[in-house]
Amino acid sequence: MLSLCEWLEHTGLVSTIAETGWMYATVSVIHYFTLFVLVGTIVLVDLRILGVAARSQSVAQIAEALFPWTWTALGLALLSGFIMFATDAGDYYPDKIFRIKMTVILLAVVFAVIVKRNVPEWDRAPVISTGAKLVAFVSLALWVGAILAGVEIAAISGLG
Amino acid sequence: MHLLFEFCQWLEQTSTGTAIRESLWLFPIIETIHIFGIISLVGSTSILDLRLMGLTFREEPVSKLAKRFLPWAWAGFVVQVVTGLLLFSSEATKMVGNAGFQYKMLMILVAGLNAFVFHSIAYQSVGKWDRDPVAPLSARIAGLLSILLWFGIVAAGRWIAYV
Repeated sequence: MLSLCEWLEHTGLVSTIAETGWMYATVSVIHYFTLFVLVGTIVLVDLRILGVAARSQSVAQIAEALFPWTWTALGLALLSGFIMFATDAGDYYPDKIFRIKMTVILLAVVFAVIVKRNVPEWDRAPVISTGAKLVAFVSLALWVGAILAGVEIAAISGLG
Repeated sequence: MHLLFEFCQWLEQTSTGTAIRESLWLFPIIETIHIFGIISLVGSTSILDLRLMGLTFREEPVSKLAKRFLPWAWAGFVVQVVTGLLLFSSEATKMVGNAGFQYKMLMILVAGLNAFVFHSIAYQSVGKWDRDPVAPLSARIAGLLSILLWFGIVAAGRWIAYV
């Protein structure tokens, strides 16, 4: 796995991006923007389920309007994130905080799927159940954790 | 300029600045809050900007959207100022000379000015065009400027780490 990472790091396009300051910074900015859309939309759905935001609209209305943005942004964030990972794969791969971040994101995406699949049912219920609220809260907390871990990779491990 | 630098030196040496700089967790935690603040601020202003340009929520009155989203924008802005100041205090002397940071501050100033001019001129007559799918030219320009500036501000913020 580590040798695969080393190989990835030295492929033509990846090393060009790594060595060209503005290219790497541009990928990083794209990662930043896409994660805003990703986290912003999913958190809004979570807050709606928790009854904090957008109470004038139904859970289903909010979810239908926002989830397409969530998935698009997730795709772009994964792509830009993968490019950033590739430029320094040998160092990222064994990094503890990077692994924590990946695990948290995986869990967060699983929770996003759970929310998405349950929205029709939650929408029909007269009152949003505590279980639904708990799922929304965990989803929200996981995204906070994902961003914190992302920032910590730079702060503790000095990567990125 | 000399005075500004001295102020930054003092700020860095305050117990707040020192604590944030020396802790492995404080800076990232504040930065995480800063990121959520951006989402709230830029997300809600962008929706209003897109509405002014006639690109989204065309059937909703502008004033209704403003009433709904401006509180989020202001809440986000307050969070940004507080967390931004805290982050700045931890490395003020480094930041003040950073080109990314300088452009970011300049653009925030222009974005604020743009919002102020929009509110005191074009928005005063909102009653006349509240339900128009596309706002008048001056409002569209303000919306376009605003969205470009905020995206620029976020990009410059990220760029701070690379210059």
